[in-house]
Amino acid sequence: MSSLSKPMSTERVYRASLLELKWRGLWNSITRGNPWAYVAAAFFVGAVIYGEWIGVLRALEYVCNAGRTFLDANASCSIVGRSISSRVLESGLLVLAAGVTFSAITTAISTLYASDDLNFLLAQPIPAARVFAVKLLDTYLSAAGVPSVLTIPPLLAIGAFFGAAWWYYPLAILAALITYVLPVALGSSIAIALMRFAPAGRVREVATGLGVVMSASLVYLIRAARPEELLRQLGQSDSDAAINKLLEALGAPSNPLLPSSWASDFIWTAARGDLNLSIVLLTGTAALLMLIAGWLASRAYLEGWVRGLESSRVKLDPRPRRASGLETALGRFGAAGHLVMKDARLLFRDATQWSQLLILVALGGVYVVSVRAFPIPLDSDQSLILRNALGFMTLAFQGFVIAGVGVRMAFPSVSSEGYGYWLLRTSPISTANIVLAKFWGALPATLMLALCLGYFSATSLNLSPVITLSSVLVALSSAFAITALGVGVGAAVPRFKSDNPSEIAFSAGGLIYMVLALFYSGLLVVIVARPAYLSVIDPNAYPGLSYFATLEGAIVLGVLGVVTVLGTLLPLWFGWTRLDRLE
Amino acid sequence: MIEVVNFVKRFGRVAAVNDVSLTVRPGEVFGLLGPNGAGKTTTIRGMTGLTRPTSGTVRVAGFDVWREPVRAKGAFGYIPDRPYLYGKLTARELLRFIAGLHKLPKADAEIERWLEFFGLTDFSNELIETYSHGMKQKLTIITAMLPEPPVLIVDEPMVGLDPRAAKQARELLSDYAKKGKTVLLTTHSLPVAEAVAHRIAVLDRGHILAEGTLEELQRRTSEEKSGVEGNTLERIFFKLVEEEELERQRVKDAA
Repeated sequence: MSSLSKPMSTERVYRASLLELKWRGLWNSITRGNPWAYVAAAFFVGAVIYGEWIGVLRALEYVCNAGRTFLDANASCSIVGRSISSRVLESGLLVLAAGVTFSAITTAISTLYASDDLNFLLAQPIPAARVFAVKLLDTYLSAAGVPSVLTIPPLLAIGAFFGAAWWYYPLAILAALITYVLPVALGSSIAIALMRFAPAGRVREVATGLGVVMSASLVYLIRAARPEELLRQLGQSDSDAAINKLLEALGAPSNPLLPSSWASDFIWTAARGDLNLSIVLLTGTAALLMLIAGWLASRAYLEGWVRGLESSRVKLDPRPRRASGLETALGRFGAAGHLVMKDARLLFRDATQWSQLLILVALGGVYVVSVRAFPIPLDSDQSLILRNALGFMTLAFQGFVIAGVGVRMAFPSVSSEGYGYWLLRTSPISTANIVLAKFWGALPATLMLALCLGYFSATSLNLSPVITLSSVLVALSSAFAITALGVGVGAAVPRFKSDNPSEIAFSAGGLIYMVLALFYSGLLVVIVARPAYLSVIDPNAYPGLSYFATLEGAIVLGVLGVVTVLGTLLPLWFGWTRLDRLE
Repeated sequence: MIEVVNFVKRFGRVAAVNDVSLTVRPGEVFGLLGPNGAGKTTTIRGMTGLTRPTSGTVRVAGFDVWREPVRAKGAFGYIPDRPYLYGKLTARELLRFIAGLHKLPKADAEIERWLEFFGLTDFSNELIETYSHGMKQKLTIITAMLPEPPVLIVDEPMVGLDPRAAKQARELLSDYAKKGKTVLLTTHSLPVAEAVAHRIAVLDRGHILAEGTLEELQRRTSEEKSGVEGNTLERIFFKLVEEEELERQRVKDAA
C-alpha cells in the first residue's frame, strides 16, 4: 500500500503542467484528425494570407505613389500615401479590436466559468490562479486568435514594402498581439466582477449588453475619424499651407487615447526605421490591465465560479401554456417549420445569440452612414459619373457586409444545435430538411439587411435606374446565396462543442466561408459590370431600365438568376450531404 | 422489431463492434450488457443512425436506418445516457417541438399526462437549463415515448433517476413491451436487466459472448459446465467475461 501512495526515490515524480496538458490535448486532436481537412484548411488559410500579403503590397504601392509632390518625389511613400495608409492601419486595428471587445466578455464567461474541465481542474490541488491563467490564454485564443492571425501578414507586408530592419518584425507582431490582449484582459476583469456581483442568472445578458456598448463606442470612434471629411477638405484646399496642415491632421492618430492608435503609430514609424515609444505605453497598459485581472481573479474568481454553480431563479407556474399563433402558423410547414420556431425561441432567449442581431444593425448603420457621408457634389455631369461609379463599388461592399453578418447569423446556425443535435439526428427529419430550415430561419435577417443596403445606397447616391436595379438584384442574390453558403459550409463543418457563437464564427470553417462569400460578391460585381459600365460612361445611351430589355440585358439577368439559384442550392446540398455523413 | 445483421464498426484499425447480429422481437425487452468499452453504446449509435456501420445492416421496424433514415427514425424513440436538451426551451415547448417533428396531432393532452406522470408539471414552464440531471433524464424519457414509437432504444435509462423515478422507468419499459412494442436497453445495472429483460446479450470487446433468456444463460454457465454456480445474472455476467478473458490469454500464450 505504501509503495502505491509514496513514489520511490528512483521513480519520476510528474509535475502537473496545465499548459502541457492543453498542448497534449491539442496535439492528440491534431494527430488523430482528418489529414484532408487539414490540407483543405491549410490551403484556404494560405490563400487568405497570400491574398492579404499581395493586397497590402499592391495597395501600398498605389497609395504611396498617389499625390506625390516635389517635397516627397524621392521618398518611398508620398506624404498623402503615408497619411492615408497609417489611418487605414489604425482603423483596421480599431475594427478588429472592436470585434474582440464585443466577444471578449461573453467568451471570458464561457471559458473562465463554463468550461467542461473546470469541475475537474478546480477540484485538483492546483492554485486557482494557475487555472485562471490557462483559462485567460483560452479566452485570448477564442476571442482574438483569428484577428491576431489576420493581422500578422499585413504587418509583414508593410515591413517588406519599406525594407524594415529585422527588429521591426517581432516588435510589430508584439504590438498587434498586445492590442488584442487589452480587450481580453478588460473583458476578463469585467467577467470576474459580473460573475461575483451581477444579478444571478442575468450575467450573460449584462455581459452582452456591456460588450455591445463597448464595441458600439469603438465603432463610433471609427466614424469619428471621418476619413471622407478629410478627403473633402483636401479637394477644397487651394493653398500649400492648408494642404500641409490637412496632411498633418491626416497623419496624426485620429484617437490618440486608444491603444490601437498607439500600436498603429508604433508599427508605422518602426517600419521606416524609427523606434517609437508608444510601444512602451501599449505594453505598460497591457501589463497594468493584466495585473488588475490577476488581482481581481485572486479575490473573486473561485467565489464567482461557485456562485455561478449555485445561482438559479425558478418561479414555478404549472399552468398549461398552449402554442402561440406564430408557432401554430409555422407548424403548418411541417417539421422544418417547428425547427424554425425552436431556433427563433433560442435566438431571442440567448444573449450570446441575439446580440449578433445588434452587430447586424451596427454594420448596416455604419455602412449606410458612410455611403451617405461620401463627399460627391450633386450638381454636375461629372458628379453623375462619380456617383454611379461609387454606386457600383458599393455593390461589392454590400456582399462584404452581408458576409460579415452571415458569418455570425447563418454560419453558426447548425453548430448552435450543440450537444442537443442528437435529438434532431434521431428524429424523423432529414438532414436536407434540417439544413433548409436553418436557411429559411437565417434568410429574413440577411435579406432585410441586403435590401436595406441596396435601397439606401441607391437612394443616397441618387443612382441611375440601371445601377439601382442592379443594386437591388445583387442584394437579393447576395442574401440568398451568401446565407445558403453560410448555412451550407456551417453544416459541412459543424462545431457542436462550442459554447459561444463567436467561437464558431472565428473557426477555420468560418474563414473558408468568408473567402467563398467574398468570391461570390466578386462574381456578382463581374456579372453586373457591363450594365454598370454603360451607365457610368454614357448615362443617356439606355434611358430608364431599357438596357434590360435588350438581348445583352436579358442575358445579364439570366446569368444573374442562374448564378443565384446555383449559388443557393449547391452550398445547401453540399451542407446536408456532409452533415448526413457526420458521425 | 430490431434486426442487426453482421454489424461491424471500425475506428481506423480498431473494431469497436465486430460482426454483431441480434434480433429483438415485438413484445420483448432485450438487455444488452457488457463491461465499459464493450461496444454497447456504439451498437446503439448504429441502431439510431448516430454512427454509420462499416459493414452490416441495421433495420428498425423493417426500415434500414441508413437507407430509409426518416422512416426508421419515425419508428423508434431513443433515450441516450446523457440528457443534452435545449436549455433555453421550457419542457412544454420542447415536447411540442418533438410532437411537431413526429407530426403528432393534438399532442397537448398527452404532453400534460406525461408531465404529470413524472412529476414535472410544476416545472413545465421553466427553462430546461434550470433542471436537475434527473429531471432532464425524465424529460428525455418523455421525448422518446411521447410519439409512442413501435421501438424504444434506451442507453443506461436509470442514470440520475431517484429511486421512485427509477422504479417508474422500470415499470414503464416492461409495460411498453407488454403493449407489443420492442424495447432494447443497455445497462450496467444487472438487477435492472434481471428485473425487466426477457432476453439478454452479453457484449465484450465488440462481440457477443452469449445471448438468450436468463434461464438459457444460467444453463450455459451452470455448475456442471463451468464449475461456477450460475443462478444470478451477476454470476453469469462475470463468468462469461472471465471465460472470454481466459480464452484470450490462452490464445496469446499459444502464440
